[in-house]
Amino acid sequence: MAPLEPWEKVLVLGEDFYATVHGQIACMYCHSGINSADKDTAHTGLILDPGSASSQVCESCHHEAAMSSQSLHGTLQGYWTAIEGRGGSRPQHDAQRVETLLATYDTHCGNCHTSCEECHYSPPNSEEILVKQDVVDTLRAKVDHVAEINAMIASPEQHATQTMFNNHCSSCHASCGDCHISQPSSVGGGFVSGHVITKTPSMSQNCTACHGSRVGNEYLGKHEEIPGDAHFRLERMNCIACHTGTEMHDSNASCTECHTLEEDVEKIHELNRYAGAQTPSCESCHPEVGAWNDTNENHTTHFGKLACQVCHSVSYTSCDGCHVAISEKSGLPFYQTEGDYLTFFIGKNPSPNYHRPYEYVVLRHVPAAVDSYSYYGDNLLPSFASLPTWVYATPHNVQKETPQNESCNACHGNAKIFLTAEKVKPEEVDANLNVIVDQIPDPVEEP
Amino acid sequence: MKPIRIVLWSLSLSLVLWACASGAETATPPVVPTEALIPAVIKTEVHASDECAACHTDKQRLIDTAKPEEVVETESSGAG
Repeated sequence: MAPLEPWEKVLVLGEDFYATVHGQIACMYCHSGINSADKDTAHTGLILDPGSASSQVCESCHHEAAMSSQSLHGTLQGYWTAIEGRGGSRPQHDAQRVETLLATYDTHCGNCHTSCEECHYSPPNSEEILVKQDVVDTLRAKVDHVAEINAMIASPEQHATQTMFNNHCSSCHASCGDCHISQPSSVGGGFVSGHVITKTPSMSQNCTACHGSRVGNEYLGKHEEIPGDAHFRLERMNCIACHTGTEMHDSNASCTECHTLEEDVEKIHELNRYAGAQTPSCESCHPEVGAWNDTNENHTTHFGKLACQVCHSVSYTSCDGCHVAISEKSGLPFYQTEGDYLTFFIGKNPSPNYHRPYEYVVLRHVPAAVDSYSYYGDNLLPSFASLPTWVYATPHNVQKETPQNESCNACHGNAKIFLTAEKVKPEEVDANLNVIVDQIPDPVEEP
Repeated sequence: MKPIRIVLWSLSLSLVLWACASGAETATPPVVPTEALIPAVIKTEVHASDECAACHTDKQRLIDTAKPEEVVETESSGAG
């Protein structure tokens, strides 16, 4: 995607925009600012992104379609699920908050608040206690009390993890406008259709602008000699053909449809995305697969034991060692991954459940490393090995015919395509014990 | 008498049919496009005195007033 010129990013195509319902609302209703011909004056108090969580302008009309507090695009809970799964934590999860406050009092409040007399006095012949306002004002100006309080309520590790999250992970946050008006800021921003608010996001300028390096490249077939996903190549299906607005606006909607008890709903937040119902599932469009009248023996033999991708995916991207830091040159946050490469490995399903009972799934190496956040502090992922680094994946490059489904023994007995212990870095073996395949399926007699 | 009877019957029947027909018509809500609900006067007035719209629909004015973006070379590398 070529970057837009600065003027191009904010050019409203009046003829198109005014013809829409939103075009009949005055600009300032959503964006505030001042009605002036002078640019600086006009931009005073401007709300750049009225669809952000802090502004909530969209929600004032779109109650039903507004991104709920359960939308992963808004909460970025997925990051926290992974971070907390490896032992990291954030301030609000501090169960010992009171103890932490007391323990940190001396190193925070106690630095300034040393004695009562410094800020208070009693006039002669009076018992009244008054405030030395000038002293208080001077001291107050020296300290960012909100920052101090934030530091106090968290342990140093929690504070460091939250800072890391704010500097790096939070840049992936998406507002209403990031999907329906503009390209996401992570790719430079700018209107997609001259400020026309589109119900359906653009696949290339919205969805894969963020989800590009894995999903986008695989789905569109951007890797040399690896075809794009059959759903794109043959049917030109775009992202929303499978991923509905309901899913985007409320990531828990498919769970809470059935799990209505309060205690169940609370647990949903602790689960990862592969714990719940598959929305969409392959079977929702291909109901004949594995059904009693399915004439494909491969389907009936393997149905429920293998995730569909085990037979129908091809090589996909894996990454190693992502580290984040703040640049000494520019002061801006950046990340560096040690490498990315194409893999195809079948492994054990790390957490079989009612919705995903499979014994085997395909695994992708994620770039998490024990020292990914070391710039911010030591040992911020204290139980790194609690989660695998080869994770359950659903690559978006589905093919009807793949190297592993050419024949029975293209898979059975083919050690190359199974994640066995010798393919895992020694320092990561412990983390991956529940996905490593100990015994690959024996070859079978071809029919 | 016979023609008069026929005329009277016809008139009664017409009256009944007319009553039914008009009732059915009022029960059907008119389909009005959402856009048509907003009077044309408001539509044009919203942006007529709107300086924001005047500038942001004027390509040349945006080119003239846009601040050049500072190109900061990212130090990020690898698949994000």
